[in-house]
Amino acid sequence: MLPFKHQKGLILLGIFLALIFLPSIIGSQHLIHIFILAGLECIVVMGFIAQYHVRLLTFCAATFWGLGAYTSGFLSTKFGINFWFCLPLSAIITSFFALLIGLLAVRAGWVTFLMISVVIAEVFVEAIGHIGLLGGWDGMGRIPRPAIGSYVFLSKASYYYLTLGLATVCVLIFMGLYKSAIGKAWTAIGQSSDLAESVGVNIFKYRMIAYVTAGFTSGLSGSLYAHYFSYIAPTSFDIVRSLYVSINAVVGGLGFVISGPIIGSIIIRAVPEWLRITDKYQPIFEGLVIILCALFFRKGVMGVLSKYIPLRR
Amino acid sequence: MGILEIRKLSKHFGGLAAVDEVDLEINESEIRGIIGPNGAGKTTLFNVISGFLAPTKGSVIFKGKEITQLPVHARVERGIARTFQLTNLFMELTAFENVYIGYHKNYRQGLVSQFLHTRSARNEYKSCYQRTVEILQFMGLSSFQDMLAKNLPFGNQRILGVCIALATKPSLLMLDEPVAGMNPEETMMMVEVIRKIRNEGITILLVEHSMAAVMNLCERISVLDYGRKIAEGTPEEIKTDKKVIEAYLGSEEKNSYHA
Repeated sequence: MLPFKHQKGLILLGIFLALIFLPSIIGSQHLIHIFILAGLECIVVMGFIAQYHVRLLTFCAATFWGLGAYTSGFLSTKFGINFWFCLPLSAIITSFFALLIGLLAVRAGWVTFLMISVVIAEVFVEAIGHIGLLGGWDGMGRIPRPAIGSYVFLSKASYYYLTLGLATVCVLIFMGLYKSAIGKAWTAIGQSSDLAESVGVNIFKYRMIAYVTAGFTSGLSGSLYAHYFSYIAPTSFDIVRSLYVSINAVVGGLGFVISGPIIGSIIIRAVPEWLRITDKYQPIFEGLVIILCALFFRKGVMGVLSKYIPLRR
Repeated sequence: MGILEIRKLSKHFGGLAAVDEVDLEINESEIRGIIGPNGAGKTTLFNVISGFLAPTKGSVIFKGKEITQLPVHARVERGIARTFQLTNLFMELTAFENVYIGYHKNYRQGLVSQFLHTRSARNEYKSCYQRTVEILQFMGLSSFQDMLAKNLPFGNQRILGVCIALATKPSLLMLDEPVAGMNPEETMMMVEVIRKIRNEGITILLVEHSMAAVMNLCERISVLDYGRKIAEGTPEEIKTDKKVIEAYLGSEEKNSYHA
């Protein structure tokens, strides 16, 4: 039998392979669209969980997403910059914003941090709504689709692979971080910040790393979001969207830093579609899942699954 | 000159002077105890030295350098490690992982090479792994290394706390009530462990309530009462010191008054 460590790798590999063949298994274009959304969202959720891992509870996860989307949309429509430059640029600009906000907010206690994040989420929407250059409340349209040479990513399936690629990159970034000494320091802070400090962990520094990394990956995801929809509006990135991000995280399992976001996003996005729950009943489904998680599955869906599959966390 | 010097250190909480102009000098590789009745300011003094509280006045000098204003992690960097009075461990992690994290400040590789798992970073992880194994062996916890910290027996949890502090390679180890709440056997185990650590050349400063352990273990003892240092000396001297006996038992007049 394989040691547990390799088993976990195999399971992730299996999920990855399944996701590669997914578009050929499911014919429905709409379902592929749902999976693209889930993929983009799961990147943001990973950022949210990284912040939660160092006990930074944020209500502005979607704000970083929106920052990425608006940066990318602005650069490509106003300056005609190619998507492949917009993608890293929006990640860098979003992480720069995260750095600025973080320098002010991360030092504060967690309640203050939470309140600041709420303010940021609200201010972002209001600000974008009042800036005519960014399209105001009407939103920003005509964002071009990405292209390689003469090939344009127009079909859902092609875009699905683009999303999958980006999500894989983000998974690798986070896995690298969690496996390294940085991730150990994150875990230490999450478990007991006093003790972490007393073994020499610079809490502020490591919280900032988590915060800025979340900004970076959310910016990447936001950029792809903007070019996928080719239309973005400030209200797409409001505080309710941020709440949904945290819901995905809770449903997937807050203790499962990589698999939790993936499973959580897929469940919240895709399962209602599979079950053919109409939009009218979707909030009921979501509410039910959250209540179930809060009452019975405190460690999320992954917490339940890991009981049956011998996984090493 | 001692490894740690404290000059005229005061810490006020509002109008209350929890620590009042205390002078203290701790020599290299000695076991120093700080005792005193409840509320004497021992733990406050401890927190000021380790950096968890900022002093109101006075200075802390470690290895000849002033560290009064440094944050906790910078003090750890210079070689001050501490344990906590209440059992404070990474409860959801195994004993091994607990100690492994304690190694944190010894990483010399930059963040980027840690992230990219470069060869030198991997070598560092390996040496960290090795050191963790050594510490657990040295402290006699090898057989518990894969247990979650929260499932360890109480005595071993406390020893694990010391292991974590040791992993930072300190030159001064500060123990906050290391044997509090322990039964006699566990106390003996802990006393042995502390002696062993001192024999490795690490200076030990401990705050303790249990007189038996302090008298048995410490070479010199400082006594605090109402935030002031009232006596200092060998255990024998302290036992017979009039002021100390008064502080602990109350003076005769007071006793007769209560009676």
